[in-house]
Formats: sequence, C-alpha cells, structure tokens
Amino acid sequence: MSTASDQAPVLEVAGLRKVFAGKRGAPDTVAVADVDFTLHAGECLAVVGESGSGKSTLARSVLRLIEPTDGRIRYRGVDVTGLNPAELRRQRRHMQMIFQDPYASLHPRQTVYRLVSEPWRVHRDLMPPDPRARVRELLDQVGMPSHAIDAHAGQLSGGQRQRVSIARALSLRPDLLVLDEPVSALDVSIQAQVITLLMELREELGLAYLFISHDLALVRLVADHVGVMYGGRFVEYGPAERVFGNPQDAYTRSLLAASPGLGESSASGGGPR
Amino acid sequence: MTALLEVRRLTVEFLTDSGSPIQAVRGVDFAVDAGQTLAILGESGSGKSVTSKALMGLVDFPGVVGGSARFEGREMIGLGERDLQRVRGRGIGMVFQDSLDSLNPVYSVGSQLVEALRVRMGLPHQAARARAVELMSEVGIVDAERRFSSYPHQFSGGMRQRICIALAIALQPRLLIADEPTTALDVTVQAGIIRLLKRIQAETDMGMIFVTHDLAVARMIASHVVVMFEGLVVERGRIDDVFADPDHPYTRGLLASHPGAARTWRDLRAVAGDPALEREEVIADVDGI
Repeated sequence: MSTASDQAPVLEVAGLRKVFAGKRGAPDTVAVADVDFTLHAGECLAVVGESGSGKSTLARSVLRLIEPTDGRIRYRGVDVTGLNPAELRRQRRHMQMIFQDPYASLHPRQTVYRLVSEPWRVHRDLMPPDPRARVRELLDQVGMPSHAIDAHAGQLSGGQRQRVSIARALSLRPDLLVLDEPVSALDVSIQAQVITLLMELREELGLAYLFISHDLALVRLVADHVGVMYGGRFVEYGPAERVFGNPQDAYTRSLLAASPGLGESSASGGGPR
Repeated sequence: MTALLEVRRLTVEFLTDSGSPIQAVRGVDFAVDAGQTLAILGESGSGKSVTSKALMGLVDFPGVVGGSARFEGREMIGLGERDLQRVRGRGIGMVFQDSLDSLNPVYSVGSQLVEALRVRMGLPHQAARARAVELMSEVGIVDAERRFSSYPHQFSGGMRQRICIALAIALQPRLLIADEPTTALDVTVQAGIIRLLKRIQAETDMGMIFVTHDLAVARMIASHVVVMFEGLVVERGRIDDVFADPDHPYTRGLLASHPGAARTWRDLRAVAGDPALEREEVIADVDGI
C-alpha cells in the first residue's frame, strides 16, 4: 500500500542550534544545542523537560517561528532552513502549531467561524468552495456542536477553545502538528478529552506530532519516541518504552523520580499521618 | 477534643446584576486537626479556592459568606478585619499559587522577612535578621547569608515560592493554607517544596489545608481528602481509602481521567455521567464571575 514518499520522514532535524545573543556584554544563551531527530507520518515524538530546558524554543525553531542559528530542518525532504519567506509560507501550511493557552491564542471577540476559516485568508488557494460547510465539518471532527460556529471564543470554556484551535490547525490539512503543552492549561478531565481527540485524529489522518510537554505521566501514554531535554540538549532520545523503562541518563532518572504518580502514598516522606 | 479548624455548612454566594446569585460554595463541612494535612481536591469552578479564601475572610463583596468556620473554637465567619488580622499570619498562614509574584520587587527578600518578624513577632532587628537567615536556609536556600540582600527578581520561581513559604512559617502558624503552591513550578522543584512542607509540619505539628487540582500531588502530601464538585463535597475520607475505593462517580471519573492511572491514552476516561460539553459550560459559567 504505502509508497516511497509515505516512508520518507515527515521531518528530519539535524544539528539544530539556537543561540540568543547576550545584551550589553552578558554571555550568549544557548537555548537549543545540536538537536537531531526524525519524525515519520503517524508518529508522536514527545520532547520533555523543565522550564528553561529549551523545549519551546525547539518547537518554534522547527517551524522557523524563531530563526535557528544553525542546523538543518527537512520537511519531506525539502530543506526548510534555506527557504525565502514566500516559499516558507507555502511549506508551513503542512506544519501547524497548537499553543498551550487557548485563552491567549484565540481572539475572544471573534466568532468560531472567523477563527477556523482565517488560515484560508492567508492560503487562498486552499479556500473551500463552501467555507461555512467545511468549518462545520471541522467542528464536527473535533467534537464541537455545529451551532458553536457563530459563538465568540470568549463564550467558550478552555477545553472548547482548545478544540477550536485544533480545528483551525486542521483547516489547512497539515501532516505535522507541533503541540506546545496543548493540555497543560486544562483540567484533568478535560485534558483526557482533548488528548483522546488528538490521538484519534492522529490515527484517522496519519498526522505526525511533535509533542512538547513537562508531564511525564501524560507523555508515557501518547509518545512513540521521547527526547529528554536539559540545557538545550537531548540528554536522552529513544523509543518511549526504553526511555521510561530503562532510562540511561541521570537527569532522566531524576525527572522520572520527581514526577508524581497515583501510586505513591504520602507515607514515603515520613510526615505525620 | 475540638478540631483545629471545623467548617460547617460553609456557603459562598456571588451576587450578580441579573438578580440570581451564583452559589460557588453550597454547604461544605470538614475538619482539620493539628499535624494533619487535608487536601481539597477539585477542578476549576469546583469552589475549592473560594472555600480556602472564605476561611481567611478574603472573599470581598459581591461575595457573601455564610455558615461557620471555627478556628481553635473561635468563629471566623463574620469577624471584623481587625480581628481577622490577628488570626492571619500567627494563627493561619497562607501560601498561594501566585505568592511568588506577591513579593515586593524593590525590597530585598531578607528585608521582607525581617519586616514580618519585627512587626508580627516583635523581634528586635538583630534577632529578626538572624532568624530570617535561619528561615531562608530552612526552606533550602543555599548560602542564605549572602542571598539575604538579593531581590526577588534574582531568584527563580521555585526559590521565590520558598521565600513565600519562609514568610508564612516565620510566624509559626498553627494552620497553613496552601492553595496550589506548586502548580506553577517544575516537577523537581515541586517535589522539593512538598518535602519541605512535610518536614516543617513534622517539626511544628501545624495543620495544613492543601488546595489542588492534581490528584497525584494530593496523594503525595495529604492524609485526608475532600473532593469538591460544583460547590459541594462529593467525597471525603482518608486519602488512601478514597483513591483505592472511590464511592462517588465524580471521584471515580476524576481518577480514571488521570494519566497516572492509565496504560495507554485509550484508557483515559472523561468524567463519567456528564455529557462533556454541558459540564464544560457549567464550569465556564462559574469561571465567568
């Protein structure tokens, strides 16, 4: 069934580096240092790390929302790093991003229709013949009722807003989604719904995910591969079972040890009961 | 023997322009003893934070608090600001999620600790300074003597939260209310702060109320739990018992939706018994006040 182009990786990143120059004599900050990874269609690569580890800078550099200092990013074999702005825009339709805070990423006074159809104003050639009907389809795909099409984002809850963000990203039929902490701002029960939705969409549409998260318990459930980031580097990178089951790096082990799971009881710290 | 804090039929209503008040807390009962940690567990809009604020007299108009909260036998609800101030700090300490942003940026952290110790504990300056340095090392700030004159912006978020914990425990409260104190922090920092709170509790026998949305964090710190949903306590008990054998469908749903309980994403369950979108709308309404 699968052709050669299906098997070529969706994304290949090699030697990616981002250095922020220090101001007024301050030393430079190396936010991302020589990161390599490969992402195939239908795969989920999770990048985990703590604040300041460089995981969000990595996510943005991959889309060239931040210009990388060095390294190579290939999308389906095309070197994205060398593209001029117009060419980059044409490639970017295939790579969409979901942000952490849907209260900040959606304009509260715009209607759901306007928000979801907006990408077509930029990529005019992808404008469907009946945009309203297509927006309804997309809403249905993300589990929103079709009457939500005329609601304002400000009337929606966090979970609903994140569904709208996903519908908007899907409007360009991308094959790569960069998800930067997509459920961290949501309640745990809503988190479960949105994660289930994302994973079902991945199966249905064969999407590749670059999934940025600090939540190891969650990553364990969704990732095929995991990159553990510390100080801008992947200190560990491999199949999820191996990273979780048999971590090689000391930092990965300490991160796993600090992550609260439901199994631990309060007795372990020796406090009064 | 009476409990350190005994809360009975606590209600909080918010008056609205449309006439019908929003009932954020609808009759909540619980008790906390010295040396015990009670987790108040719930999602956004469950009323957990409003409950903790109501105990301290921190709900302002148009919020209206009813019911009873007795701290060491003394009624707190309806107490005047002057009396409340005598209880706050020395009797009941507080640490909030955004405490780390409540430090004054133009004073060094040391001088903020000294101020609290002098004004509230009546210590003379030298003694207050010595105690401040001591407190800073107690909460795990390395090289406290040198860091005494650092300003809040020179500390990381986790370190600022530690300073806020130092400020709260400086007054040796008999009860500490911690509202999502680790939510904004990294997991390794969170683990450190939880260990710190447990150690302080072991040393001082203070009671603690730990408000959180995070089941795993509640499990790490608390001995007892009340689960709140839409302003009501739907489940209560020893935390091990509740987690092992939850009674209420909402608690069961909450546990099933936690990634720690699942093996793959297919095991995740949204909260049972409620059509998802309807429930989200309820939450959005409560958030909207």
